[in-house]
Amino acid sequence: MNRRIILALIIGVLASLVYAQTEVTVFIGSRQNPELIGSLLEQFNAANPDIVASYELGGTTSEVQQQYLNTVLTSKSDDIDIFLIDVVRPATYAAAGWAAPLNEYFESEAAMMEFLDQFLPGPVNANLIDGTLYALPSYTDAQFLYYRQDLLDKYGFEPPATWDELMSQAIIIMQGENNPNLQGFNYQGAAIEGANCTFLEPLWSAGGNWRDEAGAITVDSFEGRRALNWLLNTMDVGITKPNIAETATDNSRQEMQAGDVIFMLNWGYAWGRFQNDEDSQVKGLIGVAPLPSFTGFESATCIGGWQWAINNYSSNKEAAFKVLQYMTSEDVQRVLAAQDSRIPARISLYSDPEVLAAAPHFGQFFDVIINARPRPVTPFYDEVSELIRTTVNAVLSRSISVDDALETMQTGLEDIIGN
Amino acid sequence: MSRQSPFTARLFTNIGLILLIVAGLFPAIWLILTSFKLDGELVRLPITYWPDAATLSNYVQVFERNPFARFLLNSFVVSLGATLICVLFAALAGYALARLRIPGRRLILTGIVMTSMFPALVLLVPLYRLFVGAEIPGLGISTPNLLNTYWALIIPYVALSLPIATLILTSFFQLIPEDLESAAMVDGSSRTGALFRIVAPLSAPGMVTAGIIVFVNSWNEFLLALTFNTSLMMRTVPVGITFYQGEYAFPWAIISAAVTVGIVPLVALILFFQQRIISGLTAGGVKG
Amino acid sequence: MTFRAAYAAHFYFMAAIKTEKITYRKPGFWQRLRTGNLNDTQLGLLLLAPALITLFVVMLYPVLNVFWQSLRGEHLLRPWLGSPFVGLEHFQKILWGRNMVWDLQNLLSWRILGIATLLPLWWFAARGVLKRWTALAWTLTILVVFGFLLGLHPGDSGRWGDARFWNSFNITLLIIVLSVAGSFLVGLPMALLANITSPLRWLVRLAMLLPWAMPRVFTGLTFAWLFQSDYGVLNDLLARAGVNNLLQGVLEPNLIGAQGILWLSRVVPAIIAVNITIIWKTSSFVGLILLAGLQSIDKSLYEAATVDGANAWQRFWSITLPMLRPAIAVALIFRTLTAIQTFDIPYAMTRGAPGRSLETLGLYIYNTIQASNIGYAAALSVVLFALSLGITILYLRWIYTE
Repeated sequence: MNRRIILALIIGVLASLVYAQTEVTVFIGSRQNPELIGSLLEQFNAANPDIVASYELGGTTSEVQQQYLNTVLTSKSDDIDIFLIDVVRPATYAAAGWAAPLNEYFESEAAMMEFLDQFLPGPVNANLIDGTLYALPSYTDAQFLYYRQDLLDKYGFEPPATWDELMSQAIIIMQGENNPNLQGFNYQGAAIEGANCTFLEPLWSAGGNWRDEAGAITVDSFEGRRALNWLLNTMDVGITKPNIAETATDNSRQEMQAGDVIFMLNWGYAWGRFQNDEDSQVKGLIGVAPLPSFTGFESATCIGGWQWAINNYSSNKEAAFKVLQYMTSEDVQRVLAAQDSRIPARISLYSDPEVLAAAPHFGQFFDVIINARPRPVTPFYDEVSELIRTTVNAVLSRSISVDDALETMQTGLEDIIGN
Repeated sequence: MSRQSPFTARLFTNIGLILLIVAGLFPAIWLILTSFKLDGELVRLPITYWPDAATLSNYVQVFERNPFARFLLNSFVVSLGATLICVLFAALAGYALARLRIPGRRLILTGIVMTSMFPALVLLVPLYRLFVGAEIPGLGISTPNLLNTYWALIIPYVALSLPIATLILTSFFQLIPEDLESAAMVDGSSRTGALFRIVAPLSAPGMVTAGIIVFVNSWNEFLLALTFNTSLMMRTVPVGITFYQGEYAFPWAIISAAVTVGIVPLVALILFFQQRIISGLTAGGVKG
Repeated sequence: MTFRAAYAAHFYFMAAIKTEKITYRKPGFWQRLRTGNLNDTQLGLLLLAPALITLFVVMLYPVLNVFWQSLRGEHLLRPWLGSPFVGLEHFQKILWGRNMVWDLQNLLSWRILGIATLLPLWWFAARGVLKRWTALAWTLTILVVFGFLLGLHPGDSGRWGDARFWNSFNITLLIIVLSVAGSFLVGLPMALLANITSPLRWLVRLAMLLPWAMPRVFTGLTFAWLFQSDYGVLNDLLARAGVNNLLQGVLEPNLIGAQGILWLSRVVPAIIAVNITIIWKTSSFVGLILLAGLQSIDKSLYEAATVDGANAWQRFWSITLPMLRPAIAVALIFRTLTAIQTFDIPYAMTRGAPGRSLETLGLYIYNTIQASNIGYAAALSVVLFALSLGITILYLRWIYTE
């Protein structure tokens, strides 16, 4: 009899413990500094005794992570409560019903907008779909024009404002340097995610876009032709190597880091590698500028970065939102910016002394990032991206003509969006 | 056999040998050389063959950044478990299909092979549902949640490798002359006795080959390992290696070191066992 | 569940023993098992049970699920559609184009390839390695595939139901033909060499095992690195051997860059590079299976033949090859099945680039799943399954008829 009472008591205590503490599982990629995120979550747990937040580690690249999340979410699993997703995904997650709408956690619509005003407009626009908020920005990124400050100084050039300027500067420097391995201009031509930006950036900076305000696809246009012809032109005049179609993001970075590239388009991570890597040949020789444009048009660049969203199948959404608020707070983003060189999504941090002391280049980055544009915001982003990047790659590997490429993209995009 | 071969035959054999060794080993040797280089040396022109400043730092980092020894242990447990179970099941099935007059045996064999005709990719979601613990409709019972256990990988690996293992062993049992077996049975030993004393030793090369293939298949499987065992301490080698990748960066030097650490014990193990088992078993069997 | 099953088995076992003790009827199943007196079917089912049960439990639901999904229009990004029954709509879209024409001029290279596969086939048939009707069946299949299917293409005003499928189908077939043939051309000598006594034998075995032990994705990445046109070691070796200068005059200038051939950024070199990689990776699989086959050939057969005065070549044709046939069949079936599913290596090397020229069926299915089009991906998998099944049945007939 006694034993039963004790047993019941123990079960009761255990049950209340379980009941009191809500477990929240946070999914992050394995290269998103799990140690730091882990210590931040522990601080959160100490401040919120009723919640136990821990992280689960996914694969390395955005694609591998997505593949895993696809499986978990298709099975409507509640194993994960919060996930960190690429900036191109919120629209997809919203359409599939995988991300929980966040509007209800704010007192009012106005309070939500006021909260969002503290963040950069680019990522917020990617997360806000038809007035419903599906994710909050963690950190951001963009493509920058990296250039060799020392070489431009030597020939008396300013960073180029137009693509034509970039080409003429590159030609002059290449002739002057007489180094057979020197490339004038390097970008991502491999059939990877970055190839979308390789096409979209000159398209935008020629005044075009992939679709117009009314939603009609406008790839097969003067601007589209101008963008692709410019890319081919860089190879024809020899400032870009003929095998650019096999160059992926990090190949570009490595080649510039070896001192073989004058101008390069790449994401924000490259800067830190140039300055800090042991084997860098270009320490202190690299400058950063906004992307050039075609004469008479505005410069434009692709936005990158990662967003926090709540699993719609989660059974602990309230607690999950608390974790979300914490992870997007100014304090946490300051730690991520200062200790992990993540480009902050909060505007105030670009003038924060602690951040600028740790990463002085963020000051320069701000002018580029404030104008960064999202890649196509559509639920069918995966299909759109696959079509654009393979077609651009086909043009750069000279297996189809510009005209055929534009027609393929135009009809393909119409099929995808129209369906 | 080669005692009386003319000179030209030996010459061709030797050229073939050397070509084969070079072609087979070169990419692996290149990988090992790369693992001693620093990242910056990889994009230097003209390219260097011998490491400029040989360094062990890549290997140190492999073990420092991630619990790679644990990844090796996990892969070993999972692969060995899958191999033992799979070869046992396949040997039983193979013997039945090769030796016994079962109605519709060709249909059964085709059915078994059929399960390997779907890309693992499309089976992933239903398999996940099975392993996460789902209620079986109509029976009122649930399958247990096996995620993050060794069984979550051993069970599907057995199933994925059963077709190839069964086919290999069926074909080997067919090779063994039936008279040997019946002779043994006339001698008074039972069918099971014949199976163990005569057939097993003769099919040793087949068993070992099936074992190696199942072991390596399981060791290298990526997709299910990525999806089913998500806690760091349950990761296997192929998934673990990708953890050295950056978001964009592909640090070849460290990854080469990780791949080297991942395949060297595997190959050493196989070479050792192949030599031992084949020489041991065939030596005992063929004479009988 | 396991508990209940164990209990039932126990009960059955006890009952069997009891009935046997009381009445002297025919000995029960368990008794006959103990004394080894089961008939073939009973023993067979008993031996097959573990394998069949494993496959049934693990694979039945996933496989049925694929067929079920292939008839439904589930698309995760259109959740409002639900999972409607669409019948054979997917298959119609995949397989059938409108306004089809057939002309021989188009894709001439395919026809040459077809003839190239027919010649060795007929040669084997003439030597008696293949039965005549088997050779006939293969000839017909190859004629249909290379002469008809690949010659069909949409007319000026029409288009494929799914042009992307046919593109992936073509490249998959090309990979099957090239890489399966290639892996046998390398794998058979590999096995023969690994089987002879030589001081270098352990090196041969090492060279055979290493490719097989390397994870496929990393094989792809390693070879992409070897084939890289600027920093890759292959172009450097070719340049050192003077081959580059030779090629400069022969190849289109379009295909050559500063350091040599643009392996991975031009269509034809990329197809060659990917096939070489697949052959490197898979010939050791073929080699391993054939080696095991060689090891189980009775040595006395060779001794007898040598006494009869047969030379090495005759011994190979009259003993080795016929005795190897089951092993060849196994290797052939599984090499073909994996070739049909080729995915990791082209994905790791170029992601199907240049353009979509190396998007195999497996890669197309992967892309379709990534795009959340579940129903269509399932239908594509069923087509892939049908292709595999057709080829396997042909192979299996070949094993069992002789």
